[in-house]
Amino acid sequence: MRIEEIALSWFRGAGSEAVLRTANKSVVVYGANGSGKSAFADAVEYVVGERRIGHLVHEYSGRRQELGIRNTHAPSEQPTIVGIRFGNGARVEVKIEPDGASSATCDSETTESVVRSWEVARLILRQDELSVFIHKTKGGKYSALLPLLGLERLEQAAENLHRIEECVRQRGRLREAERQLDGRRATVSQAFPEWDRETVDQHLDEMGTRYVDSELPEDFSEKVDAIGKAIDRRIQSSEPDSKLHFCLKGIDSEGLPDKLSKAKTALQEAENVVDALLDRRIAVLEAASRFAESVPGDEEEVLCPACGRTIKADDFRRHLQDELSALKEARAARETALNEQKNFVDSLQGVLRQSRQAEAVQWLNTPAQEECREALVSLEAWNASQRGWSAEQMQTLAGCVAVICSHVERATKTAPPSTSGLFEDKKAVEAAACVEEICGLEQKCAEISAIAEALTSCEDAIRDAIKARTEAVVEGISDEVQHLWSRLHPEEPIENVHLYIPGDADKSIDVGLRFYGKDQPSPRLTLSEGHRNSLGLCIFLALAKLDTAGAQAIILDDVVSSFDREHRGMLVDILLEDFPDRQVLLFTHDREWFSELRWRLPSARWNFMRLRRWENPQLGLQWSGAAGILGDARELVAVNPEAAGNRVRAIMDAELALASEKLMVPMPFARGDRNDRRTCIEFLECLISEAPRRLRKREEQAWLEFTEPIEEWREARSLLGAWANRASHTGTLVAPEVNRLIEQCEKALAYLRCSSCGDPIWISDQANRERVQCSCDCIQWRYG
Amino acid sequence: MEYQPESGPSRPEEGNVSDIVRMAAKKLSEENQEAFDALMSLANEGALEEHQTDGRLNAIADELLEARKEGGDED
Repeated sequence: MRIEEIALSWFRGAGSEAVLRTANKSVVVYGANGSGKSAFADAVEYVVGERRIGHLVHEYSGRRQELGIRNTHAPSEQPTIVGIRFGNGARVEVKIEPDGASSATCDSETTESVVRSWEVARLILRQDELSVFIHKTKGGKYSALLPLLGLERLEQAAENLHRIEECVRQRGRLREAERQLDGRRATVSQAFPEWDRETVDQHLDEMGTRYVDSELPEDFSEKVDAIGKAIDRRIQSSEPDSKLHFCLKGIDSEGLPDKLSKAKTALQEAENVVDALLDRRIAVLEAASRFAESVPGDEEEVLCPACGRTIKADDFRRHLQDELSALKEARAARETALNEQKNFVDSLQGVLRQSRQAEAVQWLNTPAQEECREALVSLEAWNASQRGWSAEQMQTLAGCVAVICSHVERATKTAPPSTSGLFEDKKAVEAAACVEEICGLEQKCAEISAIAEALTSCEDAIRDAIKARTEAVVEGISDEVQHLWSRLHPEEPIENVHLYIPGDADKSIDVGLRFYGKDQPSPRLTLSEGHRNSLGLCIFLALAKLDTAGAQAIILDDVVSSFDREHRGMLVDILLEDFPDRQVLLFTHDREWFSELRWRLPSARWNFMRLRRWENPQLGLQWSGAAGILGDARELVAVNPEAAGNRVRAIMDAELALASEKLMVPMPFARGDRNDRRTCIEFLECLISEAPRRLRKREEQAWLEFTEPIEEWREARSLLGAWANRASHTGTLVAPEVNRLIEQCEKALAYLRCSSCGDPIWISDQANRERVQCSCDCIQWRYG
Repeated sequence: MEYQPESGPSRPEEGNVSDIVRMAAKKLSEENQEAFDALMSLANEGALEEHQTDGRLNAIADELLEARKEGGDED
């Protein structure tokens, strides 16, 4: 979709109204430095991008860039408006309030969809952005290309899936469930070594015959419940000494010393390793984060302030990732410690609960158990909810536990005959009860793991798709970059310019080339600034070509400043031949190139416009209203005839230099740089001299000598010699004389174009070394 | 109509996340159809391709876990 019009009101350097009308053609806009031509590129970027202009991102432009976007002298009641009208009549308009708040309207969904699909990075290229891509790191290049490759959303999806997977594991409390599962399995294994559900069920059936009088239920849980109750009943009906024995065995089976030892070891580990590691890693990450913010994007290697290593910028992220992994390990160790602590506390609660039973209380109240009783009282007062234990607390705990266990062990050494096997059976039933829980936990863990693994699989698949598409697209871009480079730099020993994905890094893209037969991994090693700029332009144009539908315009803002004339000419060839149907908005402050573009680009597809010098914020951007190539001079006649005369000569110098070059007009030898400082008078003299034997006009089938131009050129030469020189040297030129000079120069220049087709007389058959001619084959210039 | 840049559904050239997810999560569809459906629903509505806040990511995770409960046992 072509841009028909870009309308600005109080935007950047624009006053109340500045409209660039393209008439659906490509456009060349000439304007001196500071005339405001870049405002149009900025406007397109503002509308298409996220309401921001890249080069205005700095601390002085305001939160919404309102201090840079709005004309500094815009009337307070006037909003800033940017409107883009397209070839199909559709229009997008963004209204920007003085505080930078913006609202946009778009008159059709199709337009909205098209504008949304445009990418600033392959839409606009400015002079100072030419080599930005080349100077980026490999990761930076990848990030820059990501939206252009159409992979940004895939990348976002992969990142989201990764984070959702972490959330699923955390919020599903998978680790906790897995730990519970391990605990339950250990409990069952203790009672039933080599167990499975069937063997446990068989064991329950056997126990059932010993404890349950009625018919044993079929259901596993009901069976466990029935046997458990039967055992409890038998315990309740036993003698007091048996009950006491049973109670003390219960206390003993809690395994307090073992659990306390594990908790102590784990806490010690946390203290020695985890806490120290956490402190160190946090310091590392904090330093690294601060440093990462200050690392310039174009640094290849950086010195990490946290670890002191020299490290590639691309590796820096991986370094941070390693630190993060270490933190996660530390967290796992910490969790283990807390888990062991919890196990001990749970068992302690079980011991205290059992010690409150009547038989146990009676036993504890005997004088021989005083020490044990005091230990239990101490433990009752223990604050079990605290997360960490001091060394002193740990020592107290260990002392109490040792006392209790030694008393209980002595008391349970000899079991009353009636309790024989009863305790073991009760433990077996309790273990059997875990079997059902294990099934539930296994199912829960399997289901959560299945979701997490599916999310990981999806992320992996998307990353594979990103990689495959990146490789394919990069290969395509490389072919195009190489093609454009060879057009722009034919016969230069810099070849095989290509983009590639470095094998040693993820999310990376770099530019390689062959320099005088030697492969180079980066253009920064060997290319001059001019060549880098040229390469940047090739990459931009190759990316622009990715838009195969050609829906997106190309905006080139002063991109040839570092190019010599030869390469500027080649860029025109590229625009004509590689982008014949693409709308191009080309802005330049270079009058010579503007002249060349006027001569070379077909008027059927290109418009040429000029901006006046910018005078003040109220007037803002102003188009030059004067028609013709000498319009600039004509505008000056009334206010400054001498300046107008000088302008005429400057314009004629540029126009005739170009024409003489295209017509291969032989010029007398000039020493040194005089060759580059020839004047329009010299060119005209040579044209006048050569034209009789070279310039022909077709009359029916015959090519006849064409003398009219020679007369006009002679007259122009005469006036330029007399009046333009006077304007330069004496300052006495008057308006009627300048008007006459302009009129005659326009006539002279007009004969360099065919009056029928409007094209320059060298537009066609330029490759033919014998002659050139206009498009309609009416005017011819013979070389021979 | 109000126009917001850089939002909305996938552009055609970006590849189809739904298709990729459907293929990659095939095993989940056999193990847990409800969770698979929830995941596909997110993919189809483009939620996976847009930037999401931590809160929204947690909500999505809960949604998937809830689908697991609906499909399996309650715990």
